[in-house]
Amino acid sequence: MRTASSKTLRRVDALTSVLFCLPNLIGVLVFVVLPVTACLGLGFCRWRGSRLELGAIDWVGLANFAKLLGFRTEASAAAVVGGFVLAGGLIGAAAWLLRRWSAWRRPVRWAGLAALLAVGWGVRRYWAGVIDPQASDPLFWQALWNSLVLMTWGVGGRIVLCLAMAMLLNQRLREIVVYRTIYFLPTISSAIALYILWQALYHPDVGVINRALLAARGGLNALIDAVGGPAGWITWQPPNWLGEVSTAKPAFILMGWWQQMGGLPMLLYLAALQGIPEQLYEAAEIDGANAWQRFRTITWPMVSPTTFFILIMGVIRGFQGGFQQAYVMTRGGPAGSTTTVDYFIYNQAFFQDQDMGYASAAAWVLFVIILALTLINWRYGQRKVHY
Amino acid sequence: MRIKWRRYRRGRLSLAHATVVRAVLLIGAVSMLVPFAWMVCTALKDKHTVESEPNRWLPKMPSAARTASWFVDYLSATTPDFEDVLLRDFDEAGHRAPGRPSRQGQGSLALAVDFTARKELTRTIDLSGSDLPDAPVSMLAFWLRGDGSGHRLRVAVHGDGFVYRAADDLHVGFEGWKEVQCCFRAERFDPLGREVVQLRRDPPGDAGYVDLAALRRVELTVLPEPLWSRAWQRWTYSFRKAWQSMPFGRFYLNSLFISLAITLGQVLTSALAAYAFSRLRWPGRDKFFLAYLATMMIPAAVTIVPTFVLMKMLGWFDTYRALILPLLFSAYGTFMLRQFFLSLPRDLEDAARIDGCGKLRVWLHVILPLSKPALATLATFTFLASWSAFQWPLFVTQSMHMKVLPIGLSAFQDKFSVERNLLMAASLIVMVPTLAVFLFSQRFFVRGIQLGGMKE
Repeated sequence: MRTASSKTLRRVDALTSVLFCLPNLIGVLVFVVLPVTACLGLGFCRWRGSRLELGAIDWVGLANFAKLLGFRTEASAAAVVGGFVLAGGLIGAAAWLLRRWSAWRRPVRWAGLAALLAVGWGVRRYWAGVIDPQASDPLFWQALWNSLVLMTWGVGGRIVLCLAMAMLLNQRLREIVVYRTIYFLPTISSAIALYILWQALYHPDVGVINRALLAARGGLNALIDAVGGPAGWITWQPPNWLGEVSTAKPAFILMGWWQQMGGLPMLLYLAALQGIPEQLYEAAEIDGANAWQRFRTITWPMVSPTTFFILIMGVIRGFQGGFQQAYVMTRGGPAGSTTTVDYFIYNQAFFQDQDMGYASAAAWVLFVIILALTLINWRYGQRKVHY
Repeated sequence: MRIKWRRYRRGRLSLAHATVVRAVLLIGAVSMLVPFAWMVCTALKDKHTVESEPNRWLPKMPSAARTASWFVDYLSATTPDFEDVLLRDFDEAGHRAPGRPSRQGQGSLALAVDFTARKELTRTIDLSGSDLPDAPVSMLAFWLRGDGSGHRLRVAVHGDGFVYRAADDLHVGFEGWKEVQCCFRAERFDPLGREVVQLRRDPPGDAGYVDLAALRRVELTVLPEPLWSRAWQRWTYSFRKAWQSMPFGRFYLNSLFISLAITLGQVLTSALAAYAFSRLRWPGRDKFFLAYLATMMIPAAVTIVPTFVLMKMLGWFDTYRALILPLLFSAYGTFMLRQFFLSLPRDLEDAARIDGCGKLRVWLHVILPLSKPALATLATFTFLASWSAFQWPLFVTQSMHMKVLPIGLSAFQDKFSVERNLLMAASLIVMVPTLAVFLFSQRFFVRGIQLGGMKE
């Protein structure tokens, strides 16, 4: 009797739970699980055209992935999958090894490293038979590289600048709230408006940045002239920021720093700085530590959870971001130098070829990369963090 | 994690230390503000000033002189098929409009007046002498060279037994040549940055196409304008032009509606699911929740393409449904609220249950009121995210009346990419109201961000 009733109760409980979950569950199933599966499926298909007729879907097997990553056409599916498994194993082994590194005695360490290198060499040899860089889609690899560069500089600069800014703003000054508000302005402004603004600032002829550089050049030349140097000695021309391959990415990175300097990462750092106990600094000062030593041994370790959080979020978001800047400011140009991975995907799907299959395959490659980056970050980064 | 703004580390700073900190902060603040300042300054200028004087920051004052000296050229009519019929190509001495074939000895019609001597000036362009083709036209157009003085131009078109008068006078605050279109029909949005004058029929009749042969003369009247009004007209020109060129009001309403709907839906579905994940017991709950969490790692690029296909197939492309429905469900919101619900005391819930509350009632009357801060934080996040969302609205909307603010601004940029003053004005139109709201509620937002940001 009792067991029966508790069983019924449990069943009722489960039923209510399902009902509670249902709205969200249906949504997640329809708009997350279904698309992810469909995306994988579409990755093996070719589906072109804006009319999206179901009859136009062609099964092409691994052709999309082969085109993206540059498999040799004669490589079998088993070889490709095997290569991925091997590479994954290698990455896993490397992560594990790095984690155990300090725990092992020296000979074991070097033996482990040698073994890893040997396996890596094997994988590379094997890989050389499967991958043919010449056959790959150059724009995709360029997009991967662009994303990597933008993400690395973006995250690195963000950590340095935001921490510096937070330390500056963590001072006893009366007008600090004013500064905080000013630095926070780009964060609460419309991003698209800011990109349009920066596009105008980067204008080669009438943009403020180049006008300022030209003015500085004129001032320096006048100075050289005044002390008796040759007239018009500096002939350097300011760059066409968004119009040249060499300066487009730096322009994006600079703009990102300006935008991020007083933003959310800075607030997180500020909160972390305020959570550091006062006694630590007092003790260090009594021990005669100078400012750099205090930073090195107290501040940096104490804010490391925040750094880790910003790093992980920055890597994940940075690698799959960059579409808005590219779309508004450069349309991925010049010569594809600001085409990030997500711009590549959306361009394939919605603007250029409108090939849903190819775009889906690229999206899955991005997914796998982000997954790997996240896992590496988690495994390796947590060791460095002092909670 | 919350910032206690009043609690500062250590005592007062030494003067040297404080000076250095202040100097660095000041340099940083200036570099933050200069782009914004340039934005405002550019929006206050006209295209000619922006292009010809790139080193100039402050907008020009209109000259205090009470004179206007303009030129008119190439009066033409446009047929419904957008064919231009040249009506008058003036041959008085003067400046010539650019980009037109120049013929020997031909110039433009001068409109020069000194308002200290006379109150107004009317020039009449007689059309009755020339034999015009018998064709319907939708508008008259002419080129006007302004001098930036900001006085008014009144246009009237006289025909056989009717007059078309301008609904508003044209404030000639711009410098250089510009095309002015005088429309017989209502055509509000001009995508190409020309001046548009709306003509009204007197006596009122059916406003439509006008027979070219029935037109007799065009009267151009130059009227004086007080200095303050000229300055105002000149500085707000870009804003008025930008506002007229695209339905920003509609964009605002769209953004507001969509953001509110998404916020409401997401908080609701997340709160329901979070309750089941934190307070109800059912087999496989935690494993299921982990799978739920894993969906947060999926990049948007993976889901956007198939979801777009789904929207197309359901026929939801370019509708509010497509903009709202896919975004109503969030694993992140569920996660955040679940963590908060777990921290609530169980006793209240038990008491409510003993008193006979059902689960839904417990959720509604006990859990939700207790978790107001978390709900507010989630709502803030969701609202901010959907207010600034770009990719998804860009892909699933097409028509002008479905665009949200960022998309509308981007479309504006596509159309006016060379008119920097208009671009900056439009950006400010999009930015300033939002900025004002955020600045007023900044403390609240910062707290919400602190609360939610570190939870992960």
